[in-house]
Amino acid sequence: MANDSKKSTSSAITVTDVVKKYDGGTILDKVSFKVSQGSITVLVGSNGAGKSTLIKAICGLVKPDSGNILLFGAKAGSREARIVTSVAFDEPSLYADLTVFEHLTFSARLSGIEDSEERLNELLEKFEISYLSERLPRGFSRGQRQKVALSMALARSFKILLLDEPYVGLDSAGKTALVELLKEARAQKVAVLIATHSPELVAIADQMITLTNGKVTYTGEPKIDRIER
Amino acid sequence: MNFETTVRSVAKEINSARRAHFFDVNDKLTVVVKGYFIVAIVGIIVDLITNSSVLIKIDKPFTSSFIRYIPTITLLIYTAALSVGLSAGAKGGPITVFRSEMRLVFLSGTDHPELLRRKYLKLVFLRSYVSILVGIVIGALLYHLNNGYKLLPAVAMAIIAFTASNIYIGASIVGNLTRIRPEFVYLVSIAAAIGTYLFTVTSNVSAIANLGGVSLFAVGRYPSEALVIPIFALATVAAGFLLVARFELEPIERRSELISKLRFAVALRDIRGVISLSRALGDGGYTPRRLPQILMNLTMRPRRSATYLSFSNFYNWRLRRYIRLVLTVTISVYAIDLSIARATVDGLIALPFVVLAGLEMSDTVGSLVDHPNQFINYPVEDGWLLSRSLLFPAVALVVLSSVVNLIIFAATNMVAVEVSAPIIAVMAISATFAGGFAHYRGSKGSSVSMISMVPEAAAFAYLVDALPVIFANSWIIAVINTKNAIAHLQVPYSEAISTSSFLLVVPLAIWAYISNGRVVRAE
Repeated sequence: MANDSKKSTSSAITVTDVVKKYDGGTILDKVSFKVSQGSITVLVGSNGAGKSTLIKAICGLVKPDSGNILLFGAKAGSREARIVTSVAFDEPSLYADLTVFEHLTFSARLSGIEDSEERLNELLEKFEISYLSERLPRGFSRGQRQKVALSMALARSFKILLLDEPYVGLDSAGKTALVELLKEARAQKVAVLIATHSPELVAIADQMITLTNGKVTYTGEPKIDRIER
Repeated sequence: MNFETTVRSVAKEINSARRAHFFDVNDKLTVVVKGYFIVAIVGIIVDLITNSSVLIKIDKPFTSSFIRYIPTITLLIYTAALSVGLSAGAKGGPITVFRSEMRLVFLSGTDHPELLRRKYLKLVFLRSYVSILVGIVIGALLYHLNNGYKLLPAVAMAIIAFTASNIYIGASIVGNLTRIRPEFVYLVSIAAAIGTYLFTVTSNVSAIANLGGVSLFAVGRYPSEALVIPIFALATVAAGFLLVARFELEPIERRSELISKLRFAVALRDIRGVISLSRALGDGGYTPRRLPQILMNLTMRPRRSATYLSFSNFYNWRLRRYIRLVLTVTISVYAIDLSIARATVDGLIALPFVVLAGLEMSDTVGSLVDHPNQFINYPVEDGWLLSRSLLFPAVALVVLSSVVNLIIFAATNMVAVEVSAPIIAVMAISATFAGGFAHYRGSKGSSVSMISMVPEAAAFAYLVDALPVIFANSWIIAVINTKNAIAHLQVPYSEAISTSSFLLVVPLAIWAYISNGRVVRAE
């Protein structure tokens, strides 16, 4: 993980009045919140509430119709913002013709990390997928693909970590490893934002944001009973 | 080494690593089949060029008329390239980025404009290279048809193809960035085409039509006008190159997501997924697919409505599908006819096209995805639905192949040398090849009953159902011959027609079985 930002601010992610509409429907409706450095924030809400769209907007894949998203002061999707961000999406997308280790190596190198073999092997061991290291993803289960995608995200250099439904398909070993790695990231001043339905991840969070029909209806202390609201 | 240089070198290494795993991800049979298709297509082209003088007879009046219309034809080609390019761009093309690439490379700290420009240039070079080659081949073909008369030599055709290709690419980038509405593009293009044609027919020297006269440059007329369009093409490419920096990730991301899902659906033989995703991709992925315009009579009993549905589909096909089917059938039948007439191995070339024709027709089953309620009510488990809804395509294919066959015989005056041997050879190879491939595909990685492991059995059952159609077809041709309605046709031709019809039904039967298994499992 990267060292602290040079222009260190307490707020790593600042979302202000973000609106996104698709085909006439409003997916995000004046969404505003902040995520601090060295914290874990969970984004909860029912299916279709706009969580994945918000994650995509923060990493720059979706352009808001209005409003601002700043990552350490840089506009979402800009090169400066992408350099400090790492993302794992709800649907793991892997090259059919690259081995697991190649995926991890290239992911690390694209963020400027060379000689990462030790760290990558450590990630593979934590997720218990070392035996897949030299295999191509063809025929992998959903859980195996998810573990590879999470390892790729964690192999990078980042100050902001965005995870969309990271628990989907994970076995108990994978879930334990992920929780450990997230705590480790928080200790290293990384700002973590997770879109999830999982009570286990809410339990380790510092902040909870509830989205309902594209609107923020709750921001504050994590409360498990608010997950599906 | 700075960050950007590192990223660029990593991107190169990714491509290199992917190439190194080529044979690991493509099974050997698929590689062989792809190779076979390429060889077959090249064979067809060579065959057409070397035998083309039989197909078209060009006399002096035809040639002089053709010369007059060259600028118009060329300009129409350019107009079409511009129109299709703008439309393709408006729908999200032309640069394709796979989702894995989007996730890994585009979300890193790369310089997007630089990355996209490289992709754009690669696209321009590749398309230019291919179009020049195609232009040379067409030019050579026309040169050959004219017995050496320098009407459209290969160089001129190469320039036309290169220009059209680059207009298409440049226009598609501009269309993408301006998000121009495709309907508007088509209207303007149609108006331009009609205008061009009217100018040409009402005036011997049309200034507008001469803009398309790049081919005249090659024969020494109007060189200045001839250069206008190629310069315009290069200008659009340059504009695209400069504007690429304005590309946004969102439409590319949507497109990459659809492509990724489509590839996955193809890998799983998920017919429903393939069709719905292809439609979404065709629509640019921006808007959900509207309800299809197929009217269903809800009071009709389900078993009868299946046949009705197939007819409705046929009328609702897109134009390019008709064209593709006619081309595929023409090539198949022509190759079979050549093999009959000359006792050569041309019939082998027909094999992949015969399979393609079968696939093209039987695809109509996919329309059932638009009516899930009725689809679920059908007794799909016994394969009745698929056989029933494939009956119309089978009949249509037999009729189409017969018509094509008649036209080919009338146009070429081919003489049959030997009928039986090539037919038996083609049939034997077709059955072995297609049956073996279906067996391999059908059994791969799936847990199914024993009958599913023997697709040939189901294929045979379907063939038995289709035999009356084939016999009826033979009878019709025989009656026509008896009445001397087509005087120059001989008895062997009716056999040839019947046999080629029969061959076209074989892949249908095999595909019916494969589709049946897949759809049932998908349910």
